[in-house]
Amino acid sequence: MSTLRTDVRPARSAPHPSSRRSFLGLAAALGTAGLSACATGGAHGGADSESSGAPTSQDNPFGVDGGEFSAFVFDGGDGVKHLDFTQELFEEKRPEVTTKIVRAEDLSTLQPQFVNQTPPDLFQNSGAGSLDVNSLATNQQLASLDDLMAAPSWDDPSITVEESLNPGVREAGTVGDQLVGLNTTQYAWAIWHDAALFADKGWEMPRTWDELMALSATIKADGIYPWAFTGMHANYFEQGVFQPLVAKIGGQEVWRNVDNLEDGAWQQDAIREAAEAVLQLRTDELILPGVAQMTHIQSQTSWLNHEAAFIPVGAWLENEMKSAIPEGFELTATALPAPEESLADLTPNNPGGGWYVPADASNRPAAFEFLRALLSRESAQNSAELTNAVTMVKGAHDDQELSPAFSTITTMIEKSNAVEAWAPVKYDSWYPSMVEETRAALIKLVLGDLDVEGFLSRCQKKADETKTDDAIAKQTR
Amino acid sequence: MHKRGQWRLIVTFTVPGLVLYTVFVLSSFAQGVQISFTDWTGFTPDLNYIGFDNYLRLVHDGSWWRSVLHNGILLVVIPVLTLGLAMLFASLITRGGAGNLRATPGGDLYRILFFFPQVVPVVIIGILFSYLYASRGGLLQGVLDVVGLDMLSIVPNGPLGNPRTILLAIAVAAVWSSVGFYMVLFLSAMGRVPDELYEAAALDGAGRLGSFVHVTMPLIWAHVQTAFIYLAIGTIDSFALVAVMSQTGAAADFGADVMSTYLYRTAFSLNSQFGYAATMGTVMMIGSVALALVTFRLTKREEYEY
Repeated sequence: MSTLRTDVRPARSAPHPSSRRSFLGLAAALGTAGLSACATGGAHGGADSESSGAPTSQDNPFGVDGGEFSAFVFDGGDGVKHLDFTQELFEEKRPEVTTKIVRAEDLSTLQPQFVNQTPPDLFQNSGAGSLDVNSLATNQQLASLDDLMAAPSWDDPSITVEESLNPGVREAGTVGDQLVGLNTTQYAWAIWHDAALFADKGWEMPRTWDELMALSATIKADGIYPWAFTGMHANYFEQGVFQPLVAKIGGQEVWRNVDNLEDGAWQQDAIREAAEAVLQLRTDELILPGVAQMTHIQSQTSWLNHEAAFIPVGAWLENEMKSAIPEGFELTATALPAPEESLADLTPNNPGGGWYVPADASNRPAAFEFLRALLSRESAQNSAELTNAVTMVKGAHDDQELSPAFSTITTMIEKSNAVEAWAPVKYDSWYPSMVEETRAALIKLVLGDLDVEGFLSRCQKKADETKTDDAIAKQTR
Repeated sequence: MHKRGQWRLIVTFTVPGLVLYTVFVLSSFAQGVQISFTDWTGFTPDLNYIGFDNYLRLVHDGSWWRSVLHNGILLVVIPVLTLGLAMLFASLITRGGAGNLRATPGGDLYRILFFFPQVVPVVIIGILFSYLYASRGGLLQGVLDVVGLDMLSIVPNGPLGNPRTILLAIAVAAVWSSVGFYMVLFLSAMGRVPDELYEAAALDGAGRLGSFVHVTMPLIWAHVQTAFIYLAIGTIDSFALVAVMSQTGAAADFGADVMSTYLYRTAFSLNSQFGYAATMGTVMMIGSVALALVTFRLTKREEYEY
């Protein structure tokens, strides 16, 4: 899932991404040739990208001057209705622009548009068939969003767009040294539990790792497995449990070292301690048997049936399981318990759902202006109402009463930001062939037969290979 | 003797097909080979040629050889099981009655039942079997419950969660989905074998097995050969089923990663390495053609006229 691939991005609204992609994939497997044939043979579009535009002003910071504006988004079945409102807002202010938003079931049709140099003015790279933005950025095919971030915000001209957002947007959207992506949704990872069940049993959500292990023993004795998670999508345990645990043990710079492919980065004490801690989940038999072959939906269903007490999923859980949540179930999101009380509230609140403006976009001013409208308070609140998603717009959801689960997410994010800003871990998207291997090793550690030493050396070996492989473009943060 | 206008007729009927084939098949193959010599990302109009670098890289790529091994295992398991079962069912249906010549009662019903999986899309079969293997509410566990067994204690982490079993678990789904098709193929071949041959064999004292080995098999051998090649080429690909059941090859520590799924991830999730993926595609194409040629050579037998 998605989700499954680039990673801060979950498989929301695309329960079976692989099946949807597989038709395309079939074509690809028959010969990558098939796709590329049409691709390379195509006409080379005009590259008169920079329109001269109107003069810029406080009210029109990008100099929007009419013309056509096209955006391309993934539609997982709900029609992406929240964009209707944003479009109205945008058209009200810039009636001279003709707006067209294409909603597609698969983003991979964007690829030939890039080859032909006729991409849309704006696209959201989240959903089935999403593109590898690292390659696009390395090819200089994405526009820098610095001008957008520096422009006055839609609601309050006295602050910039960047200042109107929660921390992490710049870090998440930067490739190389350029900001190319605008991640507008808060894909925060949480440990979920049913507050009703816990109240009923007299359990209290622990804040420290020791409390967690003590409560786990109690829960197990009660006939419920403490943990469930999907083993099929290895990123859930990695991003939801392992990454925050390591950061809570040794600080976030541990992951910076891994991202930068420092020598021996995987041998750092914090990673070793975290590996020992998660191995104990296996040796103490605290994990629901069979999760190895469960998809995210299957594991979440088991959890909703009270077969397990905790599950690591992102903020999208309620929206994804809407139809399966039993009566009286109180979905509650909290941060992963920490060895040190001081970091108990820290949670990976990665921004996701990235928007990108192609370098060849013919109406870049309109694309920027549309994104500015998207980051308005009204637009953010509307999107939260329709999709239960928390946006990156600072304070936009403070007075929004949507659902109890939604409130636990906003509270969790607020508390986490009060501790320190979460710096998105980047190796997931920078070095996908490395992350494939380290995730497989992690799942083998918690569910299979790998020991801590084996896990660390396998990850380190792959990191070393990645470092010496000239075919892989290196990045640092 | 050439009749007037004969060439015009031949050209009229063959050219459209040839054009379509050239545009949509041959040119794709040619471009695939061309792209395999580049470091193309799939996004730019320009190609940058890097010689045989991709091929050299492939030779040293451990993940590739692991996929090749998995394909090799499937190449043995799937054809042997599928064709074996198809042949067994076909002969049971045609010659399974009391006498040698009478068809089994309800033969037509079996024909439809066994063929049925063939009309189900592969993706659905993959999802279906994923649920069949599920530890909670899965059919397999349900059957084991009857005899009081726990699937997870026999296969730790379940068939699709265990690196040692996931490939076999997927192979079973592949066999289930195609046995019916080959059974019908063999049935139609067997139907063309003249009854007199069986009568003669029976008079000579051949039993059911004897007439199968000495009469049926030699006469339908061409069909078996074709079936094997068709199945083998499908097995070299086997993308859809593996992709659906194993997260495009990445599940259970890559226990079911095959060439096509690794190719797919290389192109679409591992930093858009279209050039490198095209190299894998080219090697797979060469492999498929080679396999077909070798199979024909190895299974060549004398042909019988009847």
